[in-house]
Amino acid sequence: MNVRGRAALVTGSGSGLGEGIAHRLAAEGAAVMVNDIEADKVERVVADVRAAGGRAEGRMADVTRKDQVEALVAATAEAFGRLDILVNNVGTAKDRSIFKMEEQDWDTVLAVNLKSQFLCSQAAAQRMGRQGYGRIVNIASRAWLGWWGQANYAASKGGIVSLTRTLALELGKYGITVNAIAPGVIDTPLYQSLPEDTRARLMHAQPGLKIGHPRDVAWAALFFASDEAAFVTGQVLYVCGGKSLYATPAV
Amino acid sequence: MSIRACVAAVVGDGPVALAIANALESAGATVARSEPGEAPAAAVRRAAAAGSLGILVNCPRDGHPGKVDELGEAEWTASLAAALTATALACRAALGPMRQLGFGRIVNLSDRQYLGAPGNAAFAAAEAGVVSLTRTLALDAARDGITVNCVVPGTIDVGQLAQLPEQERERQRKLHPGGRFGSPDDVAHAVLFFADDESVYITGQTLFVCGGTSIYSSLSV
Repeated sequence: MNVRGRAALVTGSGSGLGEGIAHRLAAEGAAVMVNDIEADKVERVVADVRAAGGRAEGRMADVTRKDQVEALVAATAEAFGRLDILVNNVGTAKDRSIFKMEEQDWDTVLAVNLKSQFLCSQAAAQRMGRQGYGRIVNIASRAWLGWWGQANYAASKGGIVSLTRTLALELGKYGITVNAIAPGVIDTPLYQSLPEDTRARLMHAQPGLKIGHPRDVAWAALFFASDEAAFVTGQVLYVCGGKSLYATPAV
Repeated sequence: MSIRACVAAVVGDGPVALAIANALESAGATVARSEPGEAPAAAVRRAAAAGSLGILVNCPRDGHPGKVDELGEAEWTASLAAALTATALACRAALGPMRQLGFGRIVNLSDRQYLGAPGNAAFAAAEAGVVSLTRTLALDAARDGITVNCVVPGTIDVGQLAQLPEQERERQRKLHPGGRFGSPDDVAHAVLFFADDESVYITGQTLFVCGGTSIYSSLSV
């Protein structure tokens, strides 16, 4: 799983899954641009990566804005001399039933989860195309298969699956692979904030009676980002302890 | 349990199985390959006798080509036995030792033709069976520390493509978004990923190593 000497940008890497991915890529020898909308989070993760012996820079940016995305990608290429790996990780959720979902709930989730991936991929692909090398890893979710209260979230994640497959077709000839990871239930601060009985219910819905850790997602991201995964593109890999088996491949 | 501490059984022959065995060996595993003509279950038992059997990789064999109305019953049965039954029997032989160990990584190779392959009915059906077997086994073994996943190669160049007319070979190559066919090492890298102890939360999955050609088909997500 070689990423040594590669330059990576991980969006939304100030906490959670993105933070785990940034740490893993840096630990394997990639230089990492940490991005978030909160300065203190960016600073903390950059400091942690450096303390662990990794190479990192940080930059605040709202990746739903084209101008800020272009500046972020340019800053990454300037800091490291190139851009090899883009991990489109940033995400948000605003769960409501369809009867209660506000227009703003829809727009925000679609912009943060899906539009950001379009903008970042477009800007990164320009650079990667010129290099003739690139690895784009999109964080989707098992929830794209559909879930109660998540019309906006599931649709955004389903959009990511379609975006992934389409970009894989378009960018293959430039040496760029595009793949998606669909995490299931992962032990993040969001999971820990759930009521105990909800957590217990989620745990018992797992085939192996256990939930995942951010490092499990980072491991899969490392695989797709590696030099050796050159012939793997347009794929969606579930990191969910097998829970996807209850739903796929019914679509 | 790390790859280094494991015996890895690789069942099947050919360039892809060889590349997988080499990759596992480079990662530190003790590799036991099946002998030509050896029954899959016997090969697995032999591997388990050599140490802690933690990894099993099943590589498929080709069946009899032919449309469903051209295949005799014996050819059909032989094709399913070669790809599907052999995989099932190898898995069955490995489950006991892996349960005892509390750790297992089973990686079954299927083939992109499982999505439907004109003129290759028995092989396609057998490879679809490998996918279903993988998913079911993953659920059945989920509480035993055993993951079961499937790598689905697309067109891998192991010399067979040289026999195609150049025009046909070019047509097939251009179907690949990256403009190239795969190599045995491409497949081996994906197998190594699933075989790693870090792939603990990934089970029952189907990963195409096909240069993106699976995108032309539904059923591939």
